[in-house]
Amino acid sequence: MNCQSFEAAISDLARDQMMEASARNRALAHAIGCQRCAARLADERALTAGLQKIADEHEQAPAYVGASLLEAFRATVAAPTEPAVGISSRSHQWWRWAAAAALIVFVAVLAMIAARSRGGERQEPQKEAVKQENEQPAGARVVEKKPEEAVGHIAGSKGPAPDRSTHHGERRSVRRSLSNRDPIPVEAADGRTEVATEFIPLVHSDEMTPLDGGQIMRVELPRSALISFGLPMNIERAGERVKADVVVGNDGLARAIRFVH
Amino acid sequence: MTLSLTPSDVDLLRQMIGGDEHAFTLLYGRRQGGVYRFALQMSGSRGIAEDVTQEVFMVLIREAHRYDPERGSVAAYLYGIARNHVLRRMERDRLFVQFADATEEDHEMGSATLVAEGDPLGDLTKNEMIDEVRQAVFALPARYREVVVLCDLHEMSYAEAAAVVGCAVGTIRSRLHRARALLVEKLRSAKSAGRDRLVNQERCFA
Repeated sequence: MNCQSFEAAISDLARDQMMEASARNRALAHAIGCQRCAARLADERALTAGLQKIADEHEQAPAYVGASLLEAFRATVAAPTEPAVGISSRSHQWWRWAAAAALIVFVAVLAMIAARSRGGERQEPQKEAVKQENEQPAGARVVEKKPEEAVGHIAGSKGPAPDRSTHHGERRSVRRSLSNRDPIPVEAADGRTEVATEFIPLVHSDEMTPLDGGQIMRVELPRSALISFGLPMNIERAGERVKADVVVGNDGLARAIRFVH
Repeated sequence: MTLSLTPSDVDLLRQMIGGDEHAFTLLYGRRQGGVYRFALQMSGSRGIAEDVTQEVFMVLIREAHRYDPERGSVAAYLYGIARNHVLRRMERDRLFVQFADATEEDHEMGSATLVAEGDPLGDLTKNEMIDEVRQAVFALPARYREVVVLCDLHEMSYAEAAAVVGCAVGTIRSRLHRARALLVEKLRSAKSAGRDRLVNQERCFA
């Protein structure tokens, strides 16, 4: 055996690992004849002894680690897995609906803003009409159609179809009248009495098809949405949410909204 | 015929998945020491060792069903999780004990330079020398340190260590050889530095 092969075997030799008896004997014989390799083996054995001393230290994790893990294990076992999955899937479904409703409201608000900007470009006679309307006493012009009071499906033309003849000025008038009027008490789906505003039309377009049915969806909006509709908002409660019912036609278009308290 | 009354780790794990608290307690009692010491010897920090131990067994509580017996023992599975956590923590905390420069040059150091120069390491089992050995282990690059910790301090076979690290047995063998050579070199350097300090002090007093 030469020094190179001895070097390859030195770790196993110093660590008393299983190795071929003949290879072991050859390595030991080489160390007897080679002073340098003998010193290397001595160093490796000293290292093994030093590492063994460290290996003999039997430190354990503190007791509180085990205690907290045991608590975690109990909590995991106690947690009802199946119902949790069911609840989770139901809540996901609810959130899907809520997200869809929020998206509809967002699109409706955008449409309203677009309609408002288009209103600014209208011809002079229309502006005159707006002036005339604004001169009327507050509350004199309100939405003519009775809003659907219960949350649920809308049957045919009974829904809160926004007046197709309404225009920008009229809506502004409606907003002002809403802010001045007392809220309307309505009966919620669960029988509780809620206070709601009138339905505010969201879309004012001549191309809009008449409402031939749809749904009223209960959503939640940031309270700041009240401002978007010209309604007063308590600034101290700006961070809170406000409930609203959105009328969604069968064509998927959000038609009107009312705020519920 | 003899019956083994001690359940295997796999048996305990199976019972644990079924919600058996006693099985979890037994398995934890059997394996927590090794996991804790591994994290401590790798990081040198009791805080990290405690966190890693907690995280390893939390993973076991949550994802015990992911253990695959064909890929290694339960112990190797736990050490593997501990290794991942401890390396991540060390990377995050940059908690490397500066003992000596552990540079890439060290990694490439060939065995030709690892010759004893008439200056044997002597007895490393003395209390004052054990700390030197410990510090030398901490100063090793992580990939060498982990094989020393697994093979020398936890007395794992090359195959078991390979299962933990996720590499070939030959890689473990060669890394261990280099790691030990580096340790010898570092300890010899530390010893000669200590002797020089002693000589300088004696000259000052002279």
